[in-house]
Amino acid sequence: MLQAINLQKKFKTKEVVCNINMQLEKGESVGLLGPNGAGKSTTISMLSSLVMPTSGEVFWNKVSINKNPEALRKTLGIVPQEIALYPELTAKENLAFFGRIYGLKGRLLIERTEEILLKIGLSDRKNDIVKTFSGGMKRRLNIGAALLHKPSILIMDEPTVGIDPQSRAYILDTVKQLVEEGMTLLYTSHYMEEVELLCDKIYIMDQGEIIAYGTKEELKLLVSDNQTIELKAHLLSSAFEEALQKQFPMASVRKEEDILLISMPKKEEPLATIFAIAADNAVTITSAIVKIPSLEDVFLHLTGRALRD
Amino acid sequence: MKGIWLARLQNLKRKPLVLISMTVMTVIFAFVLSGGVGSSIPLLVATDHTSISQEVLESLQRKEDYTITVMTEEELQEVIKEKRDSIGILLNEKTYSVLADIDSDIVRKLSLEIESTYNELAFRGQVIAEAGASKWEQVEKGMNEEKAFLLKESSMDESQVFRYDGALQSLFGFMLYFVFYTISINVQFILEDKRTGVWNRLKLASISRFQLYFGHLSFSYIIGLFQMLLVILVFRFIIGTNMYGGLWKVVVISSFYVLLVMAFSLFIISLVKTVSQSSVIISLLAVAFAMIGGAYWPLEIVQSEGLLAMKWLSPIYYGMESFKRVTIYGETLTGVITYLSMMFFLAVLLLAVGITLLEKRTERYHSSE
Repeated sequence: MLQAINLQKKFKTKEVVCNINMQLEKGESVGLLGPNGAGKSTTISMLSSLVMPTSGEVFWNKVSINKNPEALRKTLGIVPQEIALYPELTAKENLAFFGRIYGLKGRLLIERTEEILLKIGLSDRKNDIVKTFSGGMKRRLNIGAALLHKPSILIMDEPTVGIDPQSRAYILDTVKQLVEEGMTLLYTSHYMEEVELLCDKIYIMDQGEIIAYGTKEELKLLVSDNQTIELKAHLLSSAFEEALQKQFPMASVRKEEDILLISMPKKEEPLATIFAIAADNAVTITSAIVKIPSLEDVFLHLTGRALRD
Repeated sequence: MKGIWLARLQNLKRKPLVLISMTVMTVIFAFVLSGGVGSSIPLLVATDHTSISQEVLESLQRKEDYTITVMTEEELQEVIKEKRDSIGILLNEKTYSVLADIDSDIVRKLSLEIESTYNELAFRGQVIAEAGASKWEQVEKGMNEEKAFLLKESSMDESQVFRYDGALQSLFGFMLYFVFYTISINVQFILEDKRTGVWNRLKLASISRFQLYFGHLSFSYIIGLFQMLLVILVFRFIIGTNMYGGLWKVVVISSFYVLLVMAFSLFIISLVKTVSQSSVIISLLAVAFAMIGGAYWPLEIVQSEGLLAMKWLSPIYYGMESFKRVTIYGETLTGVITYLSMMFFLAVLLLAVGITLLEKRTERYHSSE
């Protein structure tokens, strides 16, 4: 279990991270979501023992990694934001190099290298020089290099930055598979959909602080527990509006230009009823969109800014 | 550390151009600018085939300073007429003639050497004639002892005199200049590894900072030393440059110089953020150091007091001066101990400052989002 208590990091007088409290249980996948410059990389540098916090402490299985970083390092896999590979070496040589650094050798090193190449889908390109790879392939190999020594916790810092959708999907599938296999994951990103897809628990960071944390559902509740249905229809009438209001007394029904907006609690599933009322009132619905709050809305709600600002 | 070496070797195998080009350029520049020959002086010699003239010829042949071509007197006269820059020597039983168009230092030195050999032979003949061969052996023994003492005294005096050897000036100058690039480019791998995150990966794999720095720096050191040794050996044994019997001393000094340049490169990369910034600074400094350090021309011809005062800033100066002293001036390593100590202490200082600054900068990398 990884636990951070009151982490603070100052560079000279500038406080880049303050009062961070986090907890990762075994097998849990946790997301660290925030815009660029929020302090995510500094936080994970402290969590991974690369940087000493100015104050506060990080514990791995109740052992302070400030005092004993080796306790964590042996079991930690880290995927940095940069492509931390040797571009002049082949994929296989890169993996063999990092494997050797982690103490793998002989038959075990060869087997593990082949296993990882298979997992990241680069077996057929193993003897190619890394600098000839596409961005997505380099990112996959970057992940592979962190998995060689079978870590029990994986920290990934924006592993899908700057790659094509196909490679991104491949990487997300690979990470999802790792999580399903029981890997403890700390995943940082400013892509909320990635965090939503992969993580059970999410910490939202902004300006060096954790501004919210919880499960996806808990975080979305911070915005609202309502859903909004946008209806487009022919022959919208006031009779139809009144019928809807009568059927859903908790809802607010209003018309904006040619769109009817119905806001109501999330627990109701109203579409079938709405279509029935429309038929009774000779209204033909052309489209119906059910909108529930996203993590983007949560961030906007908490900071007044969009996540990618 | 073994892993780092292996990765660096694989990298060198794929990108050997820097090492090859810097080595080849040193050889080409030094060879071309030294006139395409070694520093031994070509002499054309004709004798009258008497035992005395043959002995003088053998005495000249034993010296590393000259490349001797023996010919007949007629041939010698003919060649000297055609090639006016040649030096010819006509050795007879009791006299000799030096045939040269100009009265240079070389001609004067040569004349003195030949004259001294003739005198020695005449003296020997006289002693043997008067007191027999056994007496000569005693006298020769006594002379050798006295000579050793005189030689030592003369080398101390000669260190104050300006001596110039164009071949060695070019060789040492370009060797020290080009190896600066080879070492710096190799040390830049540290910066590149830090920038790409490989450094952090290695740290997280429980590789200690000492191992990381030592792995990279020792590789850069070996590559730099290898390049220098290669150039020295090519010039000494293939081109035939005369090193005045100071070959092994040159090798020892090279090992100190490489250490200093390696430490200096580390210091430079600790001040910059990117490899390209470091390359620009190193290029500028290498040229400046070569100029103020006496790599392109001997410092003895520089008049500006300001420029001469700046020579102490240049690592090339320490290397150049030590090389010249142990070769041209015939000094021992003890004679250049000041330069060697300066190189060593500067290297230690720059390594300490460089690593400290780099470590502080590394922390910044982690927070650069």
